[in-house]
Amino acid sequence: MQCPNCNGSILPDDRFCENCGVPLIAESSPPTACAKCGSSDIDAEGYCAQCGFRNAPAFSVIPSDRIELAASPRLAGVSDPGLKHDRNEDYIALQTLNDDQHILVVCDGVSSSQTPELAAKAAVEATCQHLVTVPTDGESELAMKGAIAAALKAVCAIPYHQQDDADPPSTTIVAAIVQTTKITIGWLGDSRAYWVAADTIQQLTQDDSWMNDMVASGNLSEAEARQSPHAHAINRWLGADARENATPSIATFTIPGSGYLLLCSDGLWNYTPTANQLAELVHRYVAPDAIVLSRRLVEYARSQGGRDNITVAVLSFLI
Amino acid sequence: MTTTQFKAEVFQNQFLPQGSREVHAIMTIAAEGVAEVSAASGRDRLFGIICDISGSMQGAKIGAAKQAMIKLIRLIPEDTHFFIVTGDDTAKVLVPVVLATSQNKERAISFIRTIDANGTTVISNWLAQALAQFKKMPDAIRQALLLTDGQNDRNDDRALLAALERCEGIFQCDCRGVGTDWKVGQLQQISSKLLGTTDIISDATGIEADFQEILGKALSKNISDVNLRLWTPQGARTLFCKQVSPDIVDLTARAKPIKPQVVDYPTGSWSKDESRDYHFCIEVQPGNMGDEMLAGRASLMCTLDGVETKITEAKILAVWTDDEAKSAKIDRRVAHYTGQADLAQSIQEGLEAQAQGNLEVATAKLGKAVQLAHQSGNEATAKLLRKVVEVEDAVTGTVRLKREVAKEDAMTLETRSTKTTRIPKSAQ
Repeated sequence: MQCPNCNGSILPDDRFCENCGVPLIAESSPPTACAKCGSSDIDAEGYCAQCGFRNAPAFSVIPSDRIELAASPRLAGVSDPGLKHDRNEDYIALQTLNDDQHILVVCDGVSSSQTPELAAKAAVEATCQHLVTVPTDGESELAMKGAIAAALKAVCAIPYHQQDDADPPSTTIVAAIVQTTKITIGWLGDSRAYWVAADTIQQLTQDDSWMNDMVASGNLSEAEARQSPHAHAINRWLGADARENATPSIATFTIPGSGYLLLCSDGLWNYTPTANQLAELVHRYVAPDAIVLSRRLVEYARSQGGRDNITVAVLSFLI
Repeated sequence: MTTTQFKAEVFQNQFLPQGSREVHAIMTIAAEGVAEVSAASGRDRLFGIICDISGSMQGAKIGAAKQAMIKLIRLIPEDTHFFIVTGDDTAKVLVPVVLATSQNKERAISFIRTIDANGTTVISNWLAQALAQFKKMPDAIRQALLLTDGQNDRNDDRALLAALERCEGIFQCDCRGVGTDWKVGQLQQISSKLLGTTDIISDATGIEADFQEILGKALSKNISDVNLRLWTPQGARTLFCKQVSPDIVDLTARAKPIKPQVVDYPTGSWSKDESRDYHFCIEVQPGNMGDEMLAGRASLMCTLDGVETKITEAKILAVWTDDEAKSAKIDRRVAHYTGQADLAQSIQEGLEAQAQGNLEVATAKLGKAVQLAHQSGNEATAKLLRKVVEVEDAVTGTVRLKREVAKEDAMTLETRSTKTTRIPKSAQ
């Protein structure tokens, strides 16, 4: 037998799927009557065709964990649980301090750690809180280091059980502070930042991943590394077990003209193996409002399978 | 065949405070033509010309109209059909439906040259003749152009309404008024029922360019008989459904019930790359805190060879929340188009007040219009307003009525006041 959600194997008397955790009892008893009006006419998405009330659908996970932020028409982002996870372990924050100064932070909680969703949230909030205090002409690289140090502290403060098979709460982070035309980026792990212009795309971060290490050290070719089960393993993150190794990489970038600063978790870039494919998507889905572009990019990842949580943050520059 | 893909998106704040019933949403629909091939392999097109030849057209007007028609006929592609109806108190089919071959065009032109202007204006008769011609090609894309310079005969009001009922859904019609003796409301009544536009040709020499534009637009249509279908929950009421871009057309009263909870609004024909926005306001039974409700499901339906196809669909939602930060926000597209509708209404009320000599009301209404046009970046309307009022301060809407206003300027403002701007890119 197979789980209808993840196709993992299940036993006839399993109440929940061992693999993805979805309840299996409901399969035989989808809602047959609307909880509001009693009508039996309920569509696949759970909407009652009589009164419109949404009945919780049997299997599809209610996207209550979805976050949509629109700080301004230029700055927006969406964080979506995707289709295969019932919980959103990504988190996002955006701030426009004034026309020339913006903050974007995206974190992706490490699934194999305990309470990854809390780690992501704590890291995002601490980083954002620290960055809003940076003056317009302030020393941004130092500020970024300080912000990510504060994030580490916040993540380490989350209580957890000492266990052998689960790591302490951990998360990736990518944060950007924009001061007029200067972008300062700090990161740990494989959440990324890109600069997308009309004719170019540039990845501004380099994943802290096993694959990148292997390729950089010349031990494996990229194609070989991609085949490995470790391809997606990250080797740096924020967490109590990474204190020694949690100094962020910092990069700066000067905005050359019109374009988009895009931050995302691997839930998006997994579906765009090359940067050019991502650029193509951005151009295909471009909209005057950053929130619309963000939604469309997330929708694209969902349409491709949405296997992971998907988070996208966009800041547009029209110069 | 040319295929056209439609994309629909809904913009709204679905969060409502407790007890709230009114759901607002803007739906944008964009047709995106793909894999275009020459029009020859597409659908048949029938273009009808309905021209006023009543006595008031005598002189320069009829001369200009004849010249413009001749130029227009020459522009019609050879794979398109056309006909010409001329009208005074009766209507005559000057040229019945023919294919626009060069021979047929030359014959039509020789007939046009013989036209004389005489008699009064009874538009219902003209429409009846045009209707008979359009019925000959029910599967073609059907578009008419009606040109007149005068007011319809007073005794024709009822017959005109009846004629419009019969023409609705059979063909679309743009109306053009020549000079300043026609009534804006009268032509708008015809064009809105027949899903077309009304505009003024204040200068007879401008007819030709305008005809070309109308023909070009008609020829670019490649999908006709499109309906906007709206499902609403039981007990809900659609307070209004308006097209809000590129211009405002109130469709509320045009709802045609299909089955319980489902109505169709006509949208006529679409060309590739066309984009329109609609504003829905639906009153629903309020839900409990945390309830999510499908307040409407809007889909675009097209009927081809008797088969109904759904071409795109979007959902309008309502979620009740006690989080005021969520429910207090008005979606900026909803706000923008609400402002554009206010703008059109202020202009109409202002001009009406001015015509009745109620100058205080006129000043207040037109002042508000100037302010709204300024706020929303509707420069085209702002420019037309400046011909009617002296603007002292656009930000506060302080204006003075101009003493001498050319009648054509007031009429131009009145006919074009329903044109909206799309939401400006830079707006916060």
